[in-house]
Amino acid sequence: MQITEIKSQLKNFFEEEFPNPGASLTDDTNLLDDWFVDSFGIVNTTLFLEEKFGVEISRADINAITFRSIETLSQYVANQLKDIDES
Amino acid sequence: MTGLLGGTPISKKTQQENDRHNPVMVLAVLAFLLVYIYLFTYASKSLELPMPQDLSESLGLYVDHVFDDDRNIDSSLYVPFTWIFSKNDDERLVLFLGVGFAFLLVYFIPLEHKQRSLVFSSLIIIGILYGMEGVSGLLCAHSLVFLILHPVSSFRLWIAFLPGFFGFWTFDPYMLLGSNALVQSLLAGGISVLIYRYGVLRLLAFPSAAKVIRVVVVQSALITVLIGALLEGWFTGPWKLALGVLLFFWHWERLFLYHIDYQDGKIPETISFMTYLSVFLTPGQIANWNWGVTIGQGYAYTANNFLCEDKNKLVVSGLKLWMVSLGYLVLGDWIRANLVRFFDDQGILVYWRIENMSEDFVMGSTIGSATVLLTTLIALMKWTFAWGGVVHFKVGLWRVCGYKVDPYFNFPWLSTNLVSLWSRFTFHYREFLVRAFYYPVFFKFFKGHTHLRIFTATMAAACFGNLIWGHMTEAVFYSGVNRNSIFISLNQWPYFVLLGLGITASEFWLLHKKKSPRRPWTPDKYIGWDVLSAYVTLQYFALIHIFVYTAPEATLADSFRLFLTGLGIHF
Repeated sequence: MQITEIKSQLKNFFEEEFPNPGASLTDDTNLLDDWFVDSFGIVNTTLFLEEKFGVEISRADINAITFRSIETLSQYVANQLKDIDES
Repeated sequence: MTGLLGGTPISKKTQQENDRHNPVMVLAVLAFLLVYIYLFTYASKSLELPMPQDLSESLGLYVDHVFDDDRNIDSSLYVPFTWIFSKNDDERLVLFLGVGFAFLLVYFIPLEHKQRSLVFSSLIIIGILYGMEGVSGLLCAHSLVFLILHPVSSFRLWIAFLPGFFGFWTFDPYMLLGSNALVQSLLAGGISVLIYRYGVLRLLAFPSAAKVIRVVVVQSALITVLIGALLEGWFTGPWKLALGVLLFFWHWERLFLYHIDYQDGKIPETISFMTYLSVFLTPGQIANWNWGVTIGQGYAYTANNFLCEDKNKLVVSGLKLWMVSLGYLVLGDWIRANLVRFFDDQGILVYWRIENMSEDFVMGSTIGSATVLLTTLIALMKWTFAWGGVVHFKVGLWRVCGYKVDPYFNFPWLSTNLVSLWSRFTFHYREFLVRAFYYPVFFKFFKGHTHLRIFTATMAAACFGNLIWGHMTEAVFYSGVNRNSIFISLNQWPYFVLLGLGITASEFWLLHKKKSPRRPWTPDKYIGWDVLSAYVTLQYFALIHIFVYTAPEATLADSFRLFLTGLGIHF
């Protein structure tokens, strides 16, 4: 899966699941500062990533670096998918 | 939420850019501290100035439930566990003066020394307030933890001297003050170096042994609680903890978070002892040592949030919290008393405490639903004023010292569901429970079964972790290491179960509700639903506290009957 497609799907998910009227969501928007309301947003996103992309997420991956933006999150998904393909 | 997941690493360059002085900010902080000193200590009396109550009355303001017998303001902001000073007011004066010193030092000292300066200031304040016992116990315990978690650090053998040396001074130091005491403490330090070098380090070389030792050190507080209860059974007497050890144990939830950061590889292997100490020893924790103990969380949170934005902006945000804190501390009881009086005038009995209501209920008094609902709600207001007043002061102090720390009690009355309330009410404690219990369960069990997975993880955090690792251990530190404290906590289990079930139900609702671009509290035709949702959320949270604040003679069945009375179901 191309990274642009991952980004697009993530953007749709965030806009639909955590609507933020008046604010525009870009690849670099800080999700933790400006988009999520609480930690259930992280849980919800995790469920989406597992279901949509079939990736296996571990507790240590739940950190501020991975979840910083659509850019970092899609890069993480892409790497996970690459690992799955290689194995 | 700024501090969600602990924030992202911050560069030295950015911190340097954020470290610009502004004399106005310095004066503002000192002015605020003078207000605190005026209101909550005897300083005005010593300086022959009008006391707060005299000033209020000279302005024509006669308010009840604000001033105490000595004509200043009694406060839930106090320094616990110490008897060096005869009055809380004097301890508070030391605290406020110490805070002023710590602020000036951290504000003006060069960046590379700032966090160390906070450790230094904290140790001085703790030394004055708690004496040698407090400082020694903390340094003994923390140096031991550091040596176990970071055995590759430089100067480790020098640091290994500290547990023995300070351990000697931790137990009854004033009894030991003799000519040989210094020699004996040096000897104890030497012995601890030998034990560490030839015993502990060798054990730590075995990965499985190292893992066990680390867990024992991190969980030392809970282990002590359980051992203490067992010993009481054998020796029929409560176990008294040394003061410094008790102070260290109040760090244990943050130590737990530190350990999670450690396991996640977020802590540099070569971390220095001073940097380690800067996670735990800050002036922001000294007031009400045992309140809001998770503020500051673990390593990543403190490292990533230090000077991550302009320090003067942080000072302003800290002062705003101090302003709210002053409002809560000064006016909290007055607002509550007037509310109780108002409902009394309307013919609705409202109790000052839930325990009193529980006691009357057990004695056979007829208690109406309105009484149950209002008493619990006003009790929730009491905690918000008392606890909120203190933790806003603490978080404000963290911010004044340069840390962008998320607030506790972040407008909890705006929560329209329990997930939001849990986050707003006690953010740092909630983060502790989520990182220590929710995530480990969520990422390990029932993958593929979304609802079961969420339910299990929530109950692990809000029910199990909250009860055992949160309330039970804290109750023991409050009331003494004995079985009775443990049993009292365990008997409160319905509160934890109902909290867990409520949060789980909220999570399911959030997962499945129809998504709308509307945000809560938008001023439109749906705002009435927001008000109703917020009331239901707060009322439910308040009501389940019936199981925590019970009269001693009330049985579990009595508490359930009272709870159901609140829901309009009478037996």
